[in-house]
Amino acid sequence: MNPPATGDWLRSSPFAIAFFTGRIVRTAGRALIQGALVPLIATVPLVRDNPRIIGALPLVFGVVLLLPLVAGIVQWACFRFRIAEDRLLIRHGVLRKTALDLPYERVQGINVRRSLVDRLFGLVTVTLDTAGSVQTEGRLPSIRMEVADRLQRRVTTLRPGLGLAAGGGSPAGTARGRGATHDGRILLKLGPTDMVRIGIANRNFIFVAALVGVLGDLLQPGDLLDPVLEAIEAGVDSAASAFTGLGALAQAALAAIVIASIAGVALLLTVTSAFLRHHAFTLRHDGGRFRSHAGLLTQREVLIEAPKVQQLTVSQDLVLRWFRRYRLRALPAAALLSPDQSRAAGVEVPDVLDVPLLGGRLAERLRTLVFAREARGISVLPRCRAFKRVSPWYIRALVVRYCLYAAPPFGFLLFLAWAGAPFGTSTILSWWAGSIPATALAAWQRWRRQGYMLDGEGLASRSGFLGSEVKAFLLRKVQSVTVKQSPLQRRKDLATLQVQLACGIITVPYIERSAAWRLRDYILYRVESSRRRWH
Amino acid sequence: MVAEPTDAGPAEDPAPAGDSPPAEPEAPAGSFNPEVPLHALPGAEAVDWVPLHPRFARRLQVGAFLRSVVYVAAAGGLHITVLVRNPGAFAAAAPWLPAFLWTLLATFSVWSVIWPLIAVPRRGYVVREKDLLYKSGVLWRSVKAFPFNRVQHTKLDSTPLDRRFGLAGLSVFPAGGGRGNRIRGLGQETAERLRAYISERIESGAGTAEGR
Repeated sequence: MNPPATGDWLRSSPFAIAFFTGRIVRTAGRALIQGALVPLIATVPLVRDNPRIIGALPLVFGVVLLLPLVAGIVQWACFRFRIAEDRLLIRHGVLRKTALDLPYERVQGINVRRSLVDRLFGLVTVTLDTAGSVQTEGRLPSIRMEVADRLQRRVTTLRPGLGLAAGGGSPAGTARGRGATHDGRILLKLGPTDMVRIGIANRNFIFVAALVGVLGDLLQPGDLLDPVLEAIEAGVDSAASAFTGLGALAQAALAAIVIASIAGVALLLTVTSAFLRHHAFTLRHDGGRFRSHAGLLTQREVLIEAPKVQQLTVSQDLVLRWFRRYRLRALPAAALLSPDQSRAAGVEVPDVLDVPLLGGRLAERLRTLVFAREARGISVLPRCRAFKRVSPWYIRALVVRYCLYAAPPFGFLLFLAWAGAPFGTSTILSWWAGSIPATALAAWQRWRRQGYMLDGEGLASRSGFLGSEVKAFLLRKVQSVTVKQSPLQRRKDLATLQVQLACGIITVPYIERSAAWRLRDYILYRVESSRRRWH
Repeated sequence: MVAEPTDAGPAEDPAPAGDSPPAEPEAPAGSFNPEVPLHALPGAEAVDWVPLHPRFARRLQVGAFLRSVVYVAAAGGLHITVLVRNPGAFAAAAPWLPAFLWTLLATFSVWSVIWPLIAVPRRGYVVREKDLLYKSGVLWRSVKAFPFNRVQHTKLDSTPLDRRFGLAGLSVFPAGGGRGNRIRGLGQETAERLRAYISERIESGAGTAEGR
C-alpha cells in the first residue's frame, strides 16, 4: 500500500499531552477500582506501623502523580498523523506500534470537541467515525485549526455528502462562531431556561440531593444539624407530638429549610452540569445531515447523516412530561454499547446525536427528516393514541417473574428465621405477601406503558414504568428477528417478538402468536427485498 | 388484542413494494429473487425443519458425562480430605450436609446426561432462499431468523470432541453482535457447505446493495 505522499507527518500540539495523560489516568483509575484497590487497602496497616514508609509517602505520591504525565508526554511524542490525498494515516504507540489507515470514503461522521484550553489556543480535537467500528478510531487530539480545515476539505472533496456546508461551515469555522447562518436550517436552539429544565429533569437530581444531604451531615456534624435530624425522627415517630410544642414547630421549619437548601444545592449542581454540557445547544439540518453543537467550556459538535441512523429513541420521564418536552437520541450502528456499558468496558464510543430537550412537534419533524420518506405512519411520541397495547397476560408474566426473582432472598430470610435470627417467620411471610400486590400494581403500570405501532415501513415500540420511551426504526434496517414463546404464552396463544438492530435489541412482548409470526415474516420480507444500504 | 398488523401483514398486502414512494430504488422484481412475493414466503411454522446431526445428542451426552466424572472426582477428593481425615466435621452443625450435596451432584449429573435427549430433537434449522432459520428451546421456545443480506460474516468451530463425532458449529454474525447466533451440532460437511452457501449469499447481496 503506497498512498500518494502529499503532506508531511504532523504532530498534535503539546496541549494534547493533557489528553493522553487524562486517558492514562482514566484507564489506571479504572484498573485500580477493578483490581488493585483491595491489595492497596491491605497494605495500609503495614504502612501505618512503619514511620520510615510514612516519610517516603510524599515521594511515592509524587511519582504516582508524575508517571502518567511522563507516559502522556511519551505517547504524545510517538503520535503522528498525515493527511494524504485520499486517506488519513495515524501512527502511534510506544512499545506496541499501531498504524491506522483511514480512507476518507469510510468516514461516517466528523465529531469535533474543543476544550477550554483548545479554545484559548486555537486548537481543536477531531474524531472521524468509521463504519462498523465500535470504538472511535481516528482521533486527532488538539490539532491546529488550519490542519483541521485541511483535513475537512480533503474529506469533503471525496465525500461530498459529508462536507460540512460551504461557506465557513468547517468544524473550525463553526467553532469560531462564524458562518452560523450558512450551515443549513437551524432546527433547535436551547436557551438558559431550557438549561434549568434539563437540570431539573436530570435523573441524577435525586442522587445528587441525597449526596448533598449526606455530605452536609458529614461536614457539619455539629449541633446545628443534629436537633434537625432528631426532629425529623421525632416527626416520623409521632407527628402529632412534634407539632404540639412551639420548639418542635421551629425545628420542623428548620428541617424544611434544610431540605429545601439541600434540594437547592442539588439543583444548582445539575443545572450547572446542564450548562456545561448543553449550553447554547444548536441543532442544524441540511441535506440529510444533522449537526449539533453545544457546550460551555468544552464545545462538542456531533455530525451524523440521516441514512446512518438506525434507531430513534424518544424518552420522557415524569419531569419532562410536566414540561411537555422530550429527549431524543439518534443511534448510529456504531453505538453498539450504551455509554454506561462502554465506560465499564473501557471503550470509547463516538458521540451520539443527543437532543436533551425538544417539543413534540419538533420530535415528529425530526422523525420525518431522519426516515426521509419512509415510515410516515408511525409516531415517536409516547403520548400518541395509536400505540397498540400488548396482551394483559403480560402483567401476570411480570408478577410471576418477580415472584421467581424474590423467592431466593425471601427463602434465605425464612431459612435465617428458622435458624434462629431475631425476626419472626410470620413477619417475613407478611412482607412477602405484601410485596405481591405492589408488584402487581407496578406490572400493571408497565403494561400500560408497553405498546407498539406499525406501518408498512417502520415500527415504534413504547415501554417504560414511570416515564416512557419510544424506540422507532425502519424495518429494512433490521439485522435479525426472533419469535419467542414461554409456556404461558403457548397456552394463551401469544408470543414475544425480538428485533435486533445494529445498535441494540428491541422487544415487543406478549402479542398474538399469529400477529408475531406475520410481523416477523413481513420484516423479513422488507429486509430481504431491500436493495438499499442499511448503514 | 386481535391480530394486529393486518394492514401491513402479508395476507392483506400482496404488493407492499408498490406503495413505497417512487424515489425508493426498491428491488426490481427480477431473476435475483423469484419467491419474494409475500404470499409465496412460507410461514415459519410451515417450513420443514432440518434436524441436527443424529450423533449430536450422543456427543452432548458424552460431554456431559465427562464433565460429571470430573465433578464427581473433585467432590470425592474433597470428601476424602475433609470427612475421612476428620470424621464428624459436620456432625454437630449439619450432619445432613454431605449427603445433601452428594444428592445434588448426582441429580445434576444424571439430568445433564439425560437433557440432550430432550433438547436436541427440538432444535432444528432451515436454509431458505434468503434467510436462515434456527429454532430451539424446550419450555421457552424461540425461532431466530437471519437474513443473508444482513450477515456480516460467518464462523465454523469444532472442539476435539466435536471432530471425533464428525460435528461442527456454525455461527452467523449480523451487525450489532448479540448472543445465541450459533448453531451447534451440524455435520462437518453440512456445516462447511452451509458456510460456503451463506458466504456466497453475503457477497452477492453486498454486491447489489453497495449501489448508493
